[in-house]
Amino acid sequence: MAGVRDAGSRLESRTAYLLIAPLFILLGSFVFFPAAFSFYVSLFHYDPFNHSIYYVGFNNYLSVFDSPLFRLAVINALIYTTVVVSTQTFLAFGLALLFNRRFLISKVTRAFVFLPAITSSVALSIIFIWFFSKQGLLNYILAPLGIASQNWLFSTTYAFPSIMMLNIFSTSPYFMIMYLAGLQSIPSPIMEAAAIDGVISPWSKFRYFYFPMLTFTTLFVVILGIIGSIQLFDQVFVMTDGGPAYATYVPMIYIFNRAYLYPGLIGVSAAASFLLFVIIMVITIAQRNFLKEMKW
Amino acid sequence: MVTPSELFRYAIHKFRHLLRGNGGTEELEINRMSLPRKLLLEAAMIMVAVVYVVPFYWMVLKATRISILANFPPDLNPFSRTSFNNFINNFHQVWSFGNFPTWYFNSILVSSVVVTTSVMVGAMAGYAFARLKFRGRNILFYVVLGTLMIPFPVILIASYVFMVDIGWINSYQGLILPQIASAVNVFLMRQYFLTIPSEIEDAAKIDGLRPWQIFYRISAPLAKPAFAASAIYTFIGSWNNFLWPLLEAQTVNYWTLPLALNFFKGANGTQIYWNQMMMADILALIPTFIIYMIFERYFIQGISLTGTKG
Amino acid sequence: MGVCVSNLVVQYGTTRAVDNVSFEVRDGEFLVILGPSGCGKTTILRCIAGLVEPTSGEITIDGRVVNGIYPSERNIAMVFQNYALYPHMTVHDNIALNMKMKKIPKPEIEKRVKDVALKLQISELLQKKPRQLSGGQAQRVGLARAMVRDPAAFLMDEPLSNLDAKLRNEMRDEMKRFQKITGRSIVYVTHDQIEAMTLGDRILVLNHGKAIQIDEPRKLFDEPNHLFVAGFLGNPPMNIMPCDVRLTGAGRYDMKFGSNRVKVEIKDSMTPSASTSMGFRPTDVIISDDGPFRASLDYVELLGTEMNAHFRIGEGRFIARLLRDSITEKLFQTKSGTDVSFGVRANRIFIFDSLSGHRYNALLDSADA
Repeated sequence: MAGVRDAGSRLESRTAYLLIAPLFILLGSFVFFPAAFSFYVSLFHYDPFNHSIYYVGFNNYLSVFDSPLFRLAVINALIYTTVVVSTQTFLAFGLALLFNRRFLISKVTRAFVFLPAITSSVALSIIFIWFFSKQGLLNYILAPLGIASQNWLFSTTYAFPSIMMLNIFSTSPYFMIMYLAGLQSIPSPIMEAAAIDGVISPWSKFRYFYFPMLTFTTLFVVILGIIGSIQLFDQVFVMTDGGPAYATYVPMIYIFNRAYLYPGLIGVSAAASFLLFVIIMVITIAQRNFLKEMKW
Repeated sequence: MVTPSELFRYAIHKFRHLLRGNGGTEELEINRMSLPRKLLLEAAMIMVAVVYVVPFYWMVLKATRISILANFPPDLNPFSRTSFNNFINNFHQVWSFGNFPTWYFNSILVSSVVVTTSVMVGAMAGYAFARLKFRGRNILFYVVLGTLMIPFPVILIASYVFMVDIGWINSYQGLILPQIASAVNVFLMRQYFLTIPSEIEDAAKIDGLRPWQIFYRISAPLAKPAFAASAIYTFIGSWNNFLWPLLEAQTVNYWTLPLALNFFKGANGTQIYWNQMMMADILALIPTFIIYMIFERYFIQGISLTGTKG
Repeated sequence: MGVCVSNLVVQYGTTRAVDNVSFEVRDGEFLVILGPSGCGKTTILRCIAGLVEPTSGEITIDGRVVNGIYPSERNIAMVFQNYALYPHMTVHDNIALNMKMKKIPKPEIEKRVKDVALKLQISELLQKKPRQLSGGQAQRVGLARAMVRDPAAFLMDEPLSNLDAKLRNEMRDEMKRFQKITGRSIVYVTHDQIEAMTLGDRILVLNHGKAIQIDEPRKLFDEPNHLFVAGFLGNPPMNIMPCDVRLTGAGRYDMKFGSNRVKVEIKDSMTPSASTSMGFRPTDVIISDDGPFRASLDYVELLGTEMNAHFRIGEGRFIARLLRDSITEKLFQTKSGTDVSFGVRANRIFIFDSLSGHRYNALLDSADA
């Protein structure tokens, strides 16, 4: 009898394969295949519109490396990621600590804070085009301080910080929810015991309990934040399209333009996307190792 | 803004303390937050909420104006009679602009098909990974989770080339199919199915249900919150998706709303029609807003389910 | 007929959850599987149900080998500790689902649901959802769901463990009644020895996946054939005293615990070693000045009409459960450390091998201090 699988488990595994089949067909066609195909394309001069396809080896990669534009885009993306991820993580944690109360008002206000998370990036970008425009709210607020009104998105100095501001504003609430979930998973007897032990001030609670206990959430939030930030596209495309004077130029704009505007450069675009993949991987793994050491 | 009942309770407490004339506030300060501190926190919450509401308020305000120029001092009331008339007027202009109804229809079509299929596919796979024993279960599950690590740009270009090659550029299937497979939905569903006591499924086996019957008669009905969460999630993601349709839909007939909104931005040359842009924004926001209002709880739950350990 | 389990083995990796267990449940018999948590008793039950695949061994239900047969085709019904009612269905639909799956005609289903509901007094609950039920009601519905199938055997997995103490007593009577009205074999898993003793026609004692003893409750209590059974059953359980053994003649041994000596005749072979224990139940201790043994009194606990007297003999300790009478009452005034004479009821001393746990077939010759 040993090792004989019975009718029940055969039925079970057959059912299981049927249930996962659609997922794997879709993943295969629209994730695994494109990912592999993308590497293949990156080794070719690939112009499907003019049927001009020939092998170029790693030339596409070399031209990406040589491109000052791509280097600028990567540097911009790294600056953007550093500023946005660190700020939004702190802000999300802070908001979560603020809203983690059993007040009626916290429920109502929290619902409003969450509005950007359901709004499309394009719609939000348009609202913020106006916000930063010459007649916009930012100038209206700054006017009493004697700051001359200008279109902030037309400024090489302020365009990128403006986009950063928009994204910090719109993604913090999303990560706040993750921190809230983490805070609520801390058993209340622990905090009661802490109160008896004299941990009463908000700072000591944060320092000795909330922060060390939510290391996993922080790791998750930071990694998701990095992955999202490096792939920044929608807001830049809608608000500045990389300008003015490449001040907001990011890798995804580079990749998109090469695939969409110049069909002859699709191979270059694929090569750039692979390099971006490598950058994301390296940062993610480095972050993970760094944060693992802080685990309780 | 303290809730009246809390204010009342607090007042009674204070009153008793004064009557007795001895120290009794300590308990209040240790076990319950002091009123000034609570007020301070509530004020902070309201402030944050205001910061988050203002852009949206301005969006509504702009959509209720005819003049494309800002007036100083601005009229801040979006609920006046003229505002309403302007709003209707703007609505007509936006709705008759280009192919706006078609774009709206496309968005609804694409999102609803993506939601139904993605949630079904995710629930089926999530259930198999949570409850059924089969060879390679763990490896395959890690493969699914691994897709989360593949950045979208890597897939994007090849998918685009692939669509060009098979002639699916400018097609509904080209818009829809790549959006269905979602590791997040699989993960979310699996997490939820794991919380259903397995004895219930044992009982169902003894009652004569086959594994797929247990899935659709017992476990799936019990996982309604997870279905709701992943449906809302997927809907909002698909409704707001910009980059894929931007590559895929190259003729206006296949545009979805985000493409339309982006188009509005530059539709009138150098002149910017804020009122129409904001109106279009509002129209695009309405479905997600309604769904969010109704199912806020599940939306939050969905993020929480994916964001905690598992 | 009934349920027959032979040489059942369930192995998870390197651990054997069930280790070569064989037993038979006769037709209409109430068999209790008793053991501490983690001993494999639920695994055996789930093997019979077909929810766990045995590594090896054969299971027969009603004379038919059921290995490899889907749970619902095994002609069994199961009752669960946490009731496992379908939360989204009414009580009625919970009971009816199995018949629906069998495509039994609707009027017949209705009739049988009503019938069972009447028998288990849950008629007024039929339209409720499981979450509206109390624990006792929910388990009654669980029983009804099982009963309506009229199976060859009922499998019950600690069905009363989630109930509070008072309700558990009520439901014990209910279980007894359930056996009477169904007349079927019942395999009942529990860790509660009172449940086992009161409900079981026979009890199978299980430890670390091994079957230790299967017997009627009285025999199990009066003649435990294993150290584990002796130490598990009874409250407080049997006193076990390590003792030194000396061979004095053919089959005759001298056993010493502390200053006390027992001469025994052992029918089966025995190698004298240090690993021998003597056991006697707290209730079999008699305090009397002419008792053959002596022990020093530690302390006395009052229980009401009874008392627990704690004694020491050297390193060993034991408990005497005594009725309060003119003799035992004196113990309350006795100082801690005083030597007290006592005896043990005739033939109520058991000799065990401490290592294997095996009980020797021993006859007491004489005893003295």
